[in-house]
Amino acid sequence: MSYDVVVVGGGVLGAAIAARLAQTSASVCLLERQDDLCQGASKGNAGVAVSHLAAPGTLEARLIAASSPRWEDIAERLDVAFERRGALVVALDRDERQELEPLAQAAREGGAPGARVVDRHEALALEPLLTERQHGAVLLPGEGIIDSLRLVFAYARLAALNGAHIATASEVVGATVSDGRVLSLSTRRGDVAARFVVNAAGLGLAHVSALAGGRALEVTPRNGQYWVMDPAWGRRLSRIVIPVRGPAPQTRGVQVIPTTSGAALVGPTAEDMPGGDDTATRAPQLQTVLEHGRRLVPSLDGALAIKSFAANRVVVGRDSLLLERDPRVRNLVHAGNRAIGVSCSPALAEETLALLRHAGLHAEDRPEAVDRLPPQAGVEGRPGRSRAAGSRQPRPGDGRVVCPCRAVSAEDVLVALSGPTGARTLEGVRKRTGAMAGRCQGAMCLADVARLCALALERPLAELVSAAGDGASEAVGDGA
Amino acid sequence: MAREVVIVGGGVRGLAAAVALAGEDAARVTLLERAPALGGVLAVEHPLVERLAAQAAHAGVRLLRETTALRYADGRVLAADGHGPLELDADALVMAGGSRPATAAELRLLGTRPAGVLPAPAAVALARDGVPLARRALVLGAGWWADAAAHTLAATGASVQRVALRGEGGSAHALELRGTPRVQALVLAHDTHVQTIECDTVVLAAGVRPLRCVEGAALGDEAGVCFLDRLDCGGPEGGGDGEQLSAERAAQYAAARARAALSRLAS
Repeated sequence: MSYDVVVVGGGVLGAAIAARLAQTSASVCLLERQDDLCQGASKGNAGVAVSHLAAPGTLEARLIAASSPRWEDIAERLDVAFERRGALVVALDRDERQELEPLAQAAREGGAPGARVVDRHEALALEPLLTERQHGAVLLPGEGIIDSLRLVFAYARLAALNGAHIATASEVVGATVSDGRVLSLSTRRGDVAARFVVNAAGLGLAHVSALAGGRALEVTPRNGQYWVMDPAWGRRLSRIVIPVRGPAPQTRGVQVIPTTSGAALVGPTAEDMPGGDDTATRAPQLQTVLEHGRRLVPSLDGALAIKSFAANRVVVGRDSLLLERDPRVRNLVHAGNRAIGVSCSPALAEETLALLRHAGLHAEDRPEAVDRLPPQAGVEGRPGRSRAAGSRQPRPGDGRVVCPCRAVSAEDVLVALSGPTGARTLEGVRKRTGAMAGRCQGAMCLADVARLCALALERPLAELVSAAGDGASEAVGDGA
Repeated sequence: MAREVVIVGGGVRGLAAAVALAGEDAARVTLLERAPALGGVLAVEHPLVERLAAQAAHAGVRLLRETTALRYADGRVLAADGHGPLELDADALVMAGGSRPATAAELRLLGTRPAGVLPAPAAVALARDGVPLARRALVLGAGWWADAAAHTLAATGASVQRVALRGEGGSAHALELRGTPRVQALVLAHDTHVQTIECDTVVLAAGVRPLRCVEGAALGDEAGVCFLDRLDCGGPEGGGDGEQLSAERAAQYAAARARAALSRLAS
């Protein structure tokens, strides 16, 4: 098979790029190494759509500024939950208070025009859970929270609807390069010829570049550990709460972040771990997360944690954004981001298309291309429907609730299992729907979800349930 | 003026509360059960379940099966069944949704997040259907869920090892999962040593927690809510006073508590 563009990497950047490209006349293939999309850095995402992070004048700042205003529209078209809650960057002492005005200034220059300093009273009014021991904050009214897992799958689904070929379990293991151009990629599931290649392989960026004859990239996993807090507490949180100073200049520090499902995330730590993609959780780091979180929001209580997880961000060299044509291989583009892949994905996809066109890709926008996904009704039905007491309206599909903690219906699960970007594992259903990710962590629903999957996928239950961890699948008796 | 009472959970406690409250002055009782059949952890043909269900129906309790309560706010319950959402007025909410074991996070069980780690209610439900989940299972915990898990897994042919944690008669504290992509071992700390147990499946069956998935009635201290699912130890019929109750005693406990709660509400 041959494509105009092969995108390597099925995380948020690869999926966003594939979605944008698939709306043009270019033929697109997305290759993902693992058995499902969104299994790498993008899976451990905190769900923040920033309005400001990078230094003014940088490409990253431009991409954030170009993406940030678009979220309401993107969320509506892709049926992804998004809320523009706003963030408070909180000064915990007098020294930090001195930094507030310069921070606000930098934010305004960087594309967050509403950024301003608020005194401690206003900060408390904006976020009642905030510590009393603070000296004011910078309000970033444009910061939002988004269901980032759902976003990745929405991008992929949109790409597939527009004709992109999405291939999982397709690790790139080699390339044919001639005369400074990649001709084809060898994957574990066959070869694919490409006129252009986008390397969006996250933690695999350096490896893929090397295979394709590209320049040496230095990629370091930066480990971050998180707690997920019960919605019984998380729903009381209004804003994203960020400290002025993280433990190091390049990291924002432990934040407290409400999620679109009502929970709250606390984290991350930042520990560079050369040589491995280790996602084990560890007590000392998790303890640090709780302590730092409590400095910002004292009512944070470890007893209300429903889950902990660890994920690795992608540190590429010294910059936080990598978006360039390879200097050696002329039809190869690298795309990577350390901390805000989600936040800059819309504009980064646009910019990648521009880079490819500049490199000679013929890609005309197709007016007939799909630019929205059909909205899912969810358990409560479509918004705006009558909710008079006791009234029931028949609705299509199976509305019976499978996962009460996250209000996921059987229909939601079946939709998640359908189509070329559908789930093939319980973990895949969890990422797409939130089932099994609530307070009871699958106690109530895992068996029912598994049964639905077994029926829809025509796979044995034992095999499916054996993949019930957050990791890959491995059934007992699997070829043993 | 009718008082609308909504009961979440159609097991022994919910049914007993329904019967008790239906007899009270001007109380209209609706019971929501998410499964197709009543009974909770007891079979629908269990004599006590049959008796209570018949009494409830006779007393005019509205029994809604396959209906899942989702949210309680401002005196209303949002629920859903196969057809769509359903809103009910609730002057009082009674939570009788049963129990579950502790999650990995609640046990502070860290490490990798491999395949093969299951909550006991899921393992029991599937093993009862004969699904071969494990060859070498480690059931973590003591008490009703652990017994059920060990029993049902053994019946599928798995070898089952059991470990009780501190607080449930054992001496171990679960530390860390090892193995990827599938679990290969669980590391436990005892007073004097660390133990590593090899297995291909870990069933989380330790501790007892109330099973609450109704937003707005999750913490156990919300106003207007009577919680019949407080459990300090024992199994699903535990009464919160340190002993494992029989189904009959659980029913009596639930009826008495529900009546008391409703009369407090009225005053």
